[in-house]
Amino acid sequence: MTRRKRPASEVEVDMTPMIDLTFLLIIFFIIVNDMTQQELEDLKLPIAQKAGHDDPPENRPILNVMDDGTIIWKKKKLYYPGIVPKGQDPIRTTRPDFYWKLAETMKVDWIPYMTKDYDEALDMTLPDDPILIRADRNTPFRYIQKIMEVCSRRDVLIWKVQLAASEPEAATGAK
Amino acid sequence: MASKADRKFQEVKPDMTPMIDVTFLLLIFFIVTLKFKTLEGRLDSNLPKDMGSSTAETPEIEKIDIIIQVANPGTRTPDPKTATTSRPEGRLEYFAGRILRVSVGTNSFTVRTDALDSNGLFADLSRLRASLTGYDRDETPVTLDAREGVVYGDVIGVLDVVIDEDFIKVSFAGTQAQD
Repeated sequence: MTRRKRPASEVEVDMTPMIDLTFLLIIFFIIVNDMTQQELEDLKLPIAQKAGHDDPPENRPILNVMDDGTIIWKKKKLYYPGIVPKGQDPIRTTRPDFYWKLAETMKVDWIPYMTKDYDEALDMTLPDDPILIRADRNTPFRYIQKIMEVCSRRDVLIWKVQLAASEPEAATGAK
Repeated sequence: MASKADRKFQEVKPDMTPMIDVTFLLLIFFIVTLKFKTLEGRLDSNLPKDMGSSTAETPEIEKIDIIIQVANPGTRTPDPKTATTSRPEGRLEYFAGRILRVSVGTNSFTVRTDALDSNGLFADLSRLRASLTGYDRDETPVTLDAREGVVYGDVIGVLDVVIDEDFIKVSFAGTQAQD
């Protein structure tokens, strides 16, 4: 009876169900949204039958290589055509070092966080974690060879390399 | 009078508007940044651990060198399957009429990279499989030597067969090319 006395303009909508639903949606999107995917650039990978299903290990560095050779790690360009070189290439000493930024990133941002393993044959401690190279299928392979050369530099020595490939269309389509 | 005072205390309602605003903002953020997990695979390989010239005596062992060369570079063409969605330019192009020359020891043969089977794999690699028979899978080191002009997709196509043939020691030759 008291409600009748209120003016018609004060019709209040009950917001509770809407808020409930909105929260539910937010929680759904938080769960579904995989932040690790942010590291993957938009590339067309080649297809390989033996591409083992990739369960990404924690903190594995991912290098994206575009078809012009540009190397991207976590949205940062570590090499691009026309990068200003710094110092000398440690392997071909007469050439300037175009991959100094990649080498520096490996030394500073990757290797300190990798597990190390002692190699008896070499009497050295080497990083034991892999890196993943994700290259476009049209990337000239010499750009990937360059990355491997940087990996084998004396102050880097990463030796586990994974190459990204898509699973065959028929296999993924059947799932 | 007393009942009116009671009602005033009970009817303190928090203003929900800012919370709903923020909630909607969050909702829109998560919808916009949503990117579903893409299925990707990987092929494992190792780089040689030692560097420089080694003085250690290495016993002479049988090894396989696979040399990949470009016989015909082909032309870059938009992929007919995805031509309508080729948003980043060049990303979805492929090489039409591209022919590789693959050499395993004295065996040399050509591989057409645009001849694909129903799985999207190179259809021409049976001769590579044939020339890899008769080796000890666990012990024989395989080196992939990609020469000038070879692209990532070509190497993955060959590497896939080598791994499918159960070779374990796979590595890559260095490059002679300048930047």
